[in-house]
Amino acid sequence: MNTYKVRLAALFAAVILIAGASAAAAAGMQKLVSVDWLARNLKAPNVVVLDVGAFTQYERGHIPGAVKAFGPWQTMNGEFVGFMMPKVKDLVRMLRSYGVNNNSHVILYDEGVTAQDTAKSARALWTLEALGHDKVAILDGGFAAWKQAKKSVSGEPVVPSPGNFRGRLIKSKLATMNEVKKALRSPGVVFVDDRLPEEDFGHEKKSYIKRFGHLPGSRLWPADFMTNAGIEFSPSFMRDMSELHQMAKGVGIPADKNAEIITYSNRGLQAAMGYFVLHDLLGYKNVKLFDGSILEAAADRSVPMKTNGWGYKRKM
Amino acid sequence: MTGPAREDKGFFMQTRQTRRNFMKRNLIQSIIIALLVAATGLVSAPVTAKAGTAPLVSTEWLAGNLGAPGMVIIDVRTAANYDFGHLPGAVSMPYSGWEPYNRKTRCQMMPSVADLTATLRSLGVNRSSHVIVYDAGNTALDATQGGAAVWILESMGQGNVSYLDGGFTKWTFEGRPIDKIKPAPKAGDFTAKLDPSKVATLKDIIANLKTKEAIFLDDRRAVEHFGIEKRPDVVRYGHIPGSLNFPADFMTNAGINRGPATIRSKKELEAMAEGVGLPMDKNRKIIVYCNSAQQAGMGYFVLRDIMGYRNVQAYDGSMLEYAQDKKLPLVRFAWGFVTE
Repeated sequence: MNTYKVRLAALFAAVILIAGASAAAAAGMQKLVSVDWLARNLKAPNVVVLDVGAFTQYERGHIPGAVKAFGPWQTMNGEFVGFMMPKVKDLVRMLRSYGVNNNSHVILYDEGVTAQDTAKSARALWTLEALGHDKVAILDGGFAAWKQAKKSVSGEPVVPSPGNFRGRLIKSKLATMNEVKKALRSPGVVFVDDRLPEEDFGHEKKSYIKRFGHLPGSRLWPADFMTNAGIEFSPSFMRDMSELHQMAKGVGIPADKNAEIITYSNRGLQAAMGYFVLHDLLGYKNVKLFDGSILEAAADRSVPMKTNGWGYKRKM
Repeated sequence: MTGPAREDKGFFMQTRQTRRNFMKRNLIQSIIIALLVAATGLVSAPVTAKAGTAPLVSTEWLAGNLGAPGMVIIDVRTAANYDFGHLPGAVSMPYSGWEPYNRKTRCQMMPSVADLTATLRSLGVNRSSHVIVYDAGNTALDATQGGAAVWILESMGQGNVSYLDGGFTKWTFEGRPIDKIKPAPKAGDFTAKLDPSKVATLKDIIANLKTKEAIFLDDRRAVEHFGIEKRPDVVRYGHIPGSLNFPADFMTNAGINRGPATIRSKKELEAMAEGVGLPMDKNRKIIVYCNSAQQAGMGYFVLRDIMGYRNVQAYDGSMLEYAQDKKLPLVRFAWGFVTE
């Protein structure tokens, strides 16, 4: 056998190995599932489908077997300054009432029309991951994609048998106000603002937000940019992985997958999209969601907020 | 430099004033303004305007100077709006006439020297005229029409131009008079002459892609800059590599407390210039662009006439022209201020 053939064989083997490995990774923990996948796996054991859309939508029609999971996924905290994660024991009770067990494969879906809809699924996904439940995925394009694919729709409310889910808070998933204050003084932490560009710049704000602007040094990556919602009437499908990779670089996220990242938005909803894309799709390992987000930060005058500029720019 | 505009005390207060108070105050203000203008003239000569005129004038100032000899007020709103009511003595040149469709470049471009000369002469503009431009003044986009008209006038050799802060909206909010009388001006002697130092062509853009002598400044909305959205008639997404993004929408107070589209304070604009990454060196060359040069014209006006950047060009063809040539680079899914 000449060396050329040996090399070719080695190359061939390497290609098979790489392809096999990536396929295995995809099958192992797929965080974004397609309509076809869900249609095939609807009756699979341990699959629990949760409809996190508005409760009025559920009554009109939902994916057969899906449980109405309106929440609350977020509640006002004691000081009324943030719209935050409820108490762990309340969440555990809620998830059990939806029929979630520790071995459940939870599939989340929403209305799927706007990026804001998808953010609801992302928030639920983050909540489950923050409680230690990694076997969770989002239906790409939500109910809008399901209907567009002409899959069957049911009007029958589903009454699940209670689950036995047990979970506790994984602290590394959540950034508190105090942690954020500390992180703002440490140059190594990357803040990602997932709101609209106008809000980041300090030109506009929601009426319930006390101050204009962004946390100093933030990278701007609006959650709205992460889906194809509205483009030629498309449901809110996540953008292609290649586009998301390109955007991560283009907004200034470091290439190092171990980088410490904190996402935030107005009230922790768009920030969950940032978390989902960075952590679950792009594979960043240290991503936290600032639960109180700007709602909490703007009310605290000791937190610096920058206006009249984009948060992050390279030195020219 | 913007003395008259600085006096802005909020229009709701003013509407409550009696007519007499109003006139008395106007007189006092006129004197103060005259002194201020004279002082600024002595301390630092305005970049564009000839001595005695500020690039930005307030409604109060204009109300006190209506009918001044040599003044031509141009309304850039639609003809229908003009017919319904306009500032006393104003002539009409709707915005569509400032950036008409150009068959050669297949996009909106400023009129030819001959066309603009003829139009402005028919409106009574002389070489010595002080031209006041006003727009609807309601939205940020309205303000860009007036801003672009100022850029075109200055690019075509009319040095003495002012922009009415807040436009027609602020004027009417304050209860100031409007009428339907169409003036019949005597033909003027204005002669347009293109000043290439104020207008960038596609050639300039291509050259600058290599030399990087000038800073590209994108005045479109952030979603367009990032390449998420585009105007349907712009054929490709994205921005010119290395562009900074300073949306024209951010340059006015439009919509804040339902206020008219007045230009933001110089202090805020300076902060924004720094915040979008522009250099503090006012001699650096800057090429401003957008979709059709409308927002870019506004950028030119704000950067050059209000903030004092000396070397500003607006790219007339802008993205409507640039995107047509598929060989020219466009960057998508990135902020220019991050990647360059």
